[in-house]
Amino acid sequence: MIKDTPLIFDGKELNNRLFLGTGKFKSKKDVAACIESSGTQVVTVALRRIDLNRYEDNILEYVPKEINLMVNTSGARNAVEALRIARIAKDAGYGNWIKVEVINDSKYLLPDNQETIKATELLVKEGFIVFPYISPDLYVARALVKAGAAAVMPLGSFIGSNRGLRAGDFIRALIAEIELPVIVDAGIGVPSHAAQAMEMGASAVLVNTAIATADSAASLAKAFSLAVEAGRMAYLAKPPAKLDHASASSPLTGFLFKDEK
Amino acid sequence: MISFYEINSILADDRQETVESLAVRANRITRQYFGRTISLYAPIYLSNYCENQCVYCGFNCSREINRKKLTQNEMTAEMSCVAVSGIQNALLLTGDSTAHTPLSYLKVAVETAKKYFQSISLEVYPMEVEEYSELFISGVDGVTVYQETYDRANYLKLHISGKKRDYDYRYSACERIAKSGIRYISMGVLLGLSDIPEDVYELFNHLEWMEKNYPAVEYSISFPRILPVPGTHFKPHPVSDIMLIKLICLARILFPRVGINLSTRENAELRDYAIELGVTRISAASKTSVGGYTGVSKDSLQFDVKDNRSVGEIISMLKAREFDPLLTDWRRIENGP
Amino acid sequence: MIKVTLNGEVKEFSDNITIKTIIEKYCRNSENIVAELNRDIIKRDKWQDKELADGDVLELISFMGGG
Repeated sequence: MIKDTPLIFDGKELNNRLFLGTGKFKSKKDVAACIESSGTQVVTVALRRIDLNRYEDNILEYVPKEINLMVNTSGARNAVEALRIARIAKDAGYGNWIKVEVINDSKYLLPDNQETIKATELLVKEGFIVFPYISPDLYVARALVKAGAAAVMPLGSFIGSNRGLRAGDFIRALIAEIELPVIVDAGIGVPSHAAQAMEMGASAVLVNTAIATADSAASLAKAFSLAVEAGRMAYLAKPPAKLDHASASSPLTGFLFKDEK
Repeated sequence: MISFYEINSILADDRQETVESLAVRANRITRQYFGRTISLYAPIYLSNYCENQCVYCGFNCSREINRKKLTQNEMTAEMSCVAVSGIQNALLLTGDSTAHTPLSYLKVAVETAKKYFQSISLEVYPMEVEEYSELFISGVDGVTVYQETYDRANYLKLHISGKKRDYDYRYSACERIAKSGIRYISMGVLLGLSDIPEDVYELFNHLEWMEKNYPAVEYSISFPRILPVPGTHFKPHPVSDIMLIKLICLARILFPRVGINLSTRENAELRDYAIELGVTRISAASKTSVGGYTGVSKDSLQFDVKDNRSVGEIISMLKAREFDPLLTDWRRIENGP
Repeated sequence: MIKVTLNGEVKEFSDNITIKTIIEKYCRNSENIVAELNRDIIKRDKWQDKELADGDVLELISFMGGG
């Protein structure tokens, strides 16, 4: 049986390749249940102004201490704002792993790849472990490698769309050409999408909307975790490639065998 | 990348079904990525002065042959002769002699060639990045450098003396070419020198490494079959037509976007079939001696040409087979630093 | 009295009010809260010393669910 090697960031070993986003959940208790049912070791959170008129539970009360927190810079519209959010997270005591999400497009919520590169450069200089979220683009990914990113996180399809791996071929190119772990993030709608991403060779997937908005979030979180495991094992086991069949009469190479006929 | 084990299995299997199956895939991939275009080029030998003793080469320094290098006037005559046939991609070749054909000589050749050809490539001795850069700025688009063989031990046996004996300097030339800004690099091995599966496996690894680290360069690959050199003891391992065809198919399948060259070392029939299977660049009406086009010297060929068809005949053949002959897909611009 | 913009809203506070006092007034649990005064992060151990001035912009930020 093939054994996988753990995914390692900043010395932390991850044996579960499903990362969980915590936005859009009906209740924070569901977040805790999903963390438990899926066995995820990485959870993303965002930073926001406190609502001064209402008391809200802090999400961190629902996340076990041993979970690795990845703080999302959502809300940032440029690199400087992303850096500001990262520093705030660091000051709060959780800010080493930063998911750079810089969006200037409220219709499709596509990340601004260029600002993301700049943000990555700034954050890496300050010692953050940077996970940049991008539209899959090989030039951008190469720039992020150069900037010192810990991974690249291409979207599978538009955030919240649940449409799976519309960007499949582009993601495949990143997996083939980029030395860093490729973590597919955004658009993963059902467990089979997650399995497919792992079969392609992704190092991990991040799922948020699909789980958060499910009727039984904890069950679906577990299903996703199993799918990620299945896809990963399939990738490691290297299934045989599809083969072409030759036609009977060898029109292309018959000339090489003339004398044998 | 395919494993050595898989390459060895494929190259050991000469059954008709195996070969045809490879060919079907290679044909489909070639059509998909190259359409029906076949680029034409012509080699122009500028000088056969050489300081290397390579046992397999007609120009090797220990052979008593008529040594000649073209003057600028002679270059002009050769080049205009080739250009008249319609060829627009020229491959300029010299032996390895910085005494006779230093960088300054090459630059003169490039300047002359610019008057006649849209695209200029060189197949000369390996040099430093700065030297390649100067050539790039003067107008060189491509460089051909074959490692000949990747078998280090055999390499030393085949290259008895001269600078070419430095295996690593030659191996790393590709990287220096890429760093200089040159757009095209042609790589290859001489079939018949060493164990073919091992050489091909190393060549594919070398090419894959170059593609990954220098993705802006366009690559092509070549598998010349080396022949015995008259008057010497050199006897290459025989390489069957089936082997050559399989290598072409394999290269096409593994590297869908890399060009594949086939020179006039190969006969017309094989070339005509090979273009269906992945070959995308062929030379036409080649003369492989210095000054061979104008007849300045008719002896001392680097190799015997087997396909003697004129450019016009090759173009007719291509059109008859519904190929798109490409005299050039390039228009000269200034190469910048 | 001084006017301070707190989380985007202009509010009036008594002179020399400290960050600590404001946080205690508005937040039940001050754990995991970050205070950013005029774009500078003020460390927790300075909250009781830091007095606000008229025109200051104070942001109280904490973690929320996010993707």
